[in-house]
Amino acid sequence: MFDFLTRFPPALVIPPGRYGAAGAGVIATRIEGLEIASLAAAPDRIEELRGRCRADFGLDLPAGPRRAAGEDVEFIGVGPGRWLALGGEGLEERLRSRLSPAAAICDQSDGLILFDLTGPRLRDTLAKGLAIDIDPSVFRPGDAATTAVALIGVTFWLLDEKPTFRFAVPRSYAPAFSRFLVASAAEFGCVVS
Amino acid sequence: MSRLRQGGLIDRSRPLSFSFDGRSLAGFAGDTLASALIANDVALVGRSFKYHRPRGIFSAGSEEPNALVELGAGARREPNTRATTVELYDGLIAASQNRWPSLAFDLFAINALLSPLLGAGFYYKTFMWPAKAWEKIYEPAIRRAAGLGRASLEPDPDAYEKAHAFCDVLVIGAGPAGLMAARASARAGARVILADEDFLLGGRLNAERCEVDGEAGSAFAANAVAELASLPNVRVFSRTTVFGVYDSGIYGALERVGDHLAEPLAYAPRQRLWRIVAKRAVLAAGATERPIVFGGNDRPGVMAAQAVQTYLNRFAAMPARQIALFANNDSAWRVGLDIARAGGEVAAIIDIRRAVAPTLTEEARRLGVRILLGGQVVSTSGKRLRSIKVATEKGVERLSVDGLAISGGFSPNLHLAGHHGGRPAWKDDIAAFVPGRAPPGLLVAGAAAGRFGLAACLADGVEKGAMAARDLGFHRKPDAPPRAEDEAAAVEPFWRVGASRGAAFVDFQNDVTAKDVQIAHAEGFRAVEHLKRYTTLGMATDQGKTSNVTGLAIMAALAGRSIAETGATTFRPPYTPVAIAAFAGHHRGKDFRPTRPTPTHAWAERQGAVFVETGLWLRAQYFPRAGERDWLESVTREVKATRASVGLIDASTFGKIDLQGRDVGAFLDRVYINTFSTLPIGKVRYGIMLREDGFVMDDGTTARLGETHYLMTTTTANAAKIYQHLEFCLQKLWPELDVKLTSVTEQWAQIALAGPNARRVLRAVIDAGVDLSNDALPYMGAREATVMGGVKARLFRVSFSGELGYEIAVPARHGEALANALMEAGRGYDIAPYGVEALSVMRIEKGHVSGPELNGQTTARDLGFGRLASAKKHYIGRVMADRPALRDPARPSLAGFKPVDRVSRLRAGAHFTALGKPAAIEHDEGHMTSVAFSPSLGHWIGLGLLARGSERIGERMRACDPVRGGDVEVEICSPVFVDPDGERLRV
Repeated sequence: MFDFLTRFPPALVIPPGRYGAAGAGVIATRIEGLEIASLAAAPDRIEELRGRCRADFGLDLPAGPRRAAGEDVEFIGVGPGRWLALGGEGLEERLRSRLSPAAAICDQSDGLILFDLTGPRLRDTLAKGLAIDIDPSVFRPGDAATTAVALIGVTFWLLDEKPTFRFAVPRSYAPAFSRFLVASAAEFGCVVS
Repeated sequence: MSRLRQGGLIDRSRPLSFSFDGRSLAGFAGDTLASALIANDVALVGRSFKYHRPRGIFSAGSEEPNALVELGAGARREPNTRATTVELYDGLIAASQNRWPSLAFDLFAINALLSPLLGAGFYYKTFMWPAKAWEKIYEPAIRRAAGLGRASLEPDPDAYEKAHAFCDVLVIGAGPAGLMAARASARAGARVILADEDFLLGGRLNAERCEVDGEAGSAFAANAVAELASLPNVRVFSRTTVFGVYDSGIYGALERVGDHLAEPLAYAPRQRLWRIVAKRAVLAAGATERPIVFGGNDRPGVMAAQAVQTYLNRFAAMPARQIALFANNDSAWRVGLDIARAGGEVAAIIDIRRAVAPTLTEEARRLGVRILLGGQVVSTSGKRLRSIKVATEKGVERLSVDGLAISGGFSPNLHLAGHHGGRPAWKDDIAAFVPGRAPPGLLVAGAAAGRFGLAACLADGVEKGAMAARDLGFHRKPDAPPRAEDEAAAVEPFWRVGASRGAAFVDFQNDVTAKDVQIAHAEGFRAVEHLKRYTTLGMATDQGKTSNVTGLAIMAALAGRSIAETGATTFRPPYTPVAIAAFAGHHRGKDFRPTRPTPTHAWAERQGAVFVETGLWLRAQYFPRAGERDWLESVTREVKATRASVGLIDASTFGKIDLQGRDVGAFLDRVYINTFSTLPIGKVRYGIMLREDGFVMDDGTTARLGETHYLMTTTTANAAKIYQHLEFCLQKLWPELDVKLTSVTEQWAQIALAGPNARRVLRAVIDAGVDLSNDALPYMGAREATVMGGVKARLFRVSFSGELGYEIAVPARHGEALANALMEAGRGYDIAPYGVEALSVMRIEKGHVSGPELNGQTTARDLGFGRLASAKKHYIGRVMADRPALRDPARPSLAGFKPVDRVSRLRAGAHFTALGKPAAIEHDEGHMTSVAFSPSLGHWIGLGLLARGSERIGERMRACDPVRGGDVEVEICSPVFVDPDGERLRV
């Protein structure tokens, strides 16, 4: 680990600022204001759930690690019969009223911290932690993955071709995630905003 | 100076200064440390491992056995660095190693005189007696005398990191075959990674005088690299050694990011460990030249012929003034011709063969080079080589030379091809092993596959690169290979000069001589793996790259077997040494693993908490206040304040698992020993889970929030394990059950509020309209509510401390606000935040089991939960828990312990023996699991597991703690020390 990181206590998220070499190879922004909920459906209820999502949200629930986004809500496939939903205020109630009991719905708005990551050297930075291929020819906008980065379980998806990756990190792992990110992006210049 | 006036691939416009053993020297950008030393006429570079013989530079690559140096100074000092692979930089500091007091005069060189005593196996024979002397005398003495460099004992100041890369085709080695393989794959459209350990790509194209497509080999290589680097589907890694082949197309590689600089660039790592996932790979790692074994073949000035050629052509450095060549093959002749053409003096080309291709002999004669066919070098002399003796049919002749280039043929660098266990195959026509069964997806090209001509290497590279790409669906007719000539490459197997005088080395790095191989043979260590271990042939940093084949060829001859029958030793990663730090990457110091703060971490910090790591979590251990002398004083105050009035602790770290579905009740009945399907809505129940083998796995409380909705808590330590266990049960054992699991550990901050005034404090933060009365929310009740003006919350009336207690869960972002609100509300009650120490004291006072008792060796019955287990249902672990040994009443079971004299301190880990019995294992009856100073009782108390413990209340035992010197008489008592009837819980 780089010396400059020893200034920051390991239990705290690295504060906003510029780190490492000059430039902005990677820009990290914490996203607030989105509510998050987890959906879990028993195998025999998945079709029913799909139908309700189509009817009520106009969305096809992704059948794999993909993102399906509508106007007010988006779903990320995180496992067989499991999704993360993101949306505006009142998300949990909205989902529960339309999708329960086909799916178990749990509020995760406080359990997951969202970071948007972008910048010209982002893929080089993420390669230092992710053991999956995020080359633009392989991992395209709308693709998602639930995997580990630097010993931390995360879900992330690609929003656009800039590229902007959105990471959902368990709350208590956010400091470790920020340390991984800043250390790995230091040689390219890292901006935390 | 031995630097030639012109030529070479060095940048003469960028002079660099460096030092070796304190002497200031100069080189150029593009030099290695070895080439710069040669250019400065430094021939003596190190001392050998065992006999401290003077050694020089043998090779020009990563196979170097001799020229090991200490590089850098202070914290960056790195021993055993191969001078041949160190890229020169300005200010480089290098020192020779394994010598004292100096390189030129080394007292340990006396070992050479003792060499008759120090042969193979000498440790085993010499240091057998007395046995005690091994550790104290022999081993330290041997370690001082034998050995390599000194490691820096300071912390490594540099950063390291790991990274992942993915490709269709990985090409290992950027010589002629590798460059062509990469180009063919890339032009077909595959994603290609090309990696080479050198800082200049091109391999032998940079070291030999050759032409490819009408241009110089080095220019061709530079152009090919430039083309590859310009393609979007190609990544070129220089200074990167692919060191291992693992499962499923995973290759390990080490990139030396900053080793060619005095210090790594700011914010860049020194080295980066790559995990490359490749669908196909082409191994084009070239071949390594072998020495010939004869007396004095290790003298400084004796060098591999191809290395001489490399220093001459690539680095424009002439390794000696008068050079003889001694070989069994055509390649060495070209080295001699290169020397002569460059204006060097070639004393003679000595070839063991009697007939050599006329093209070579004619050219040698034309250049005035003397030829000695059917000749053998029988001895050498000089600290630095001064002369050699050559035996031919005409007799023995002494030649004055300061350089001798030797070549015993070439061994393909097939190491990686053997990493999955494939055995190499011997080929007589090239006198070398070639790869056998390679790992899946790995093709071998060029010299690594035993194809030694330049044209053959180029063509093989094109073919293998195209083949790898085609395999993956990238179809393109490969371009014709570039034009080049296949130079003569005849070889006659020859390993050892039989009639030579003096120590004849097989393995320079480990000082293994031909005689050692003879000893191993005579003593029965004839299998190659035995030969390696008995003589150390092929061990250490070079892993026998130059010596293995020669060693086993000599053994084969001694044993009267063919080399094919003798076989080769096993190839294992890494191909060349890799620093441990590179495997650790960023995960050092506090970043060894993630640190997980609780939702109230910042609040606890403001309260002055001392923190403790519990697993990954950082939890408040205790909250010292001004004037308190030690942790025990703080903890005692926290316990007293809680028992007398009220206290609070963050309990968010417990695992929290949300269970929803029609069958949750039935599911819980199967995973817990007790029944949960009957739990009323709004109630909490304590439960125990067993492993399949009948031992206790975990405990915790589960609340029923609705008809089909439960919330389970697990211990902090087992949160992930229990989730995994439940997931397994649902996916594999009972997929028919409608149960959906969700971890909500991170979502909820949970604060435990305990003490007689807990209700009064809670009332101040709970929103109006929530009835907290004993009737409305009794002990083991649960309900949803709102706190602090509309924040959704869950209330659980549970207690670990034994006091009136509530756990209040709020969404994690509100955790800190809740802690503040409770502190504010509790100000009038002297509310005390408490840490995990006080938590532990209170649970021991209450006889609640925790980690030390849930140790994987205890049954529910051992812990006093026998009656909790339902006899009316099946559950995981029930059958195995019924095994006779687990029902044995003599098993250690939970009991409480007090010191008889009440002032003694108890120690966890102490073992129980009967009074008057010695503290010996045969009298052991159990051990103390947890201890605490009980503020409520004013003395130390303990929980322990004692044979028939629960039946022996009132008896006395010895609690012996030989580790810390404790020996205390204790009284056995109930494990519940405080409020045994639980009255305080229900108020």
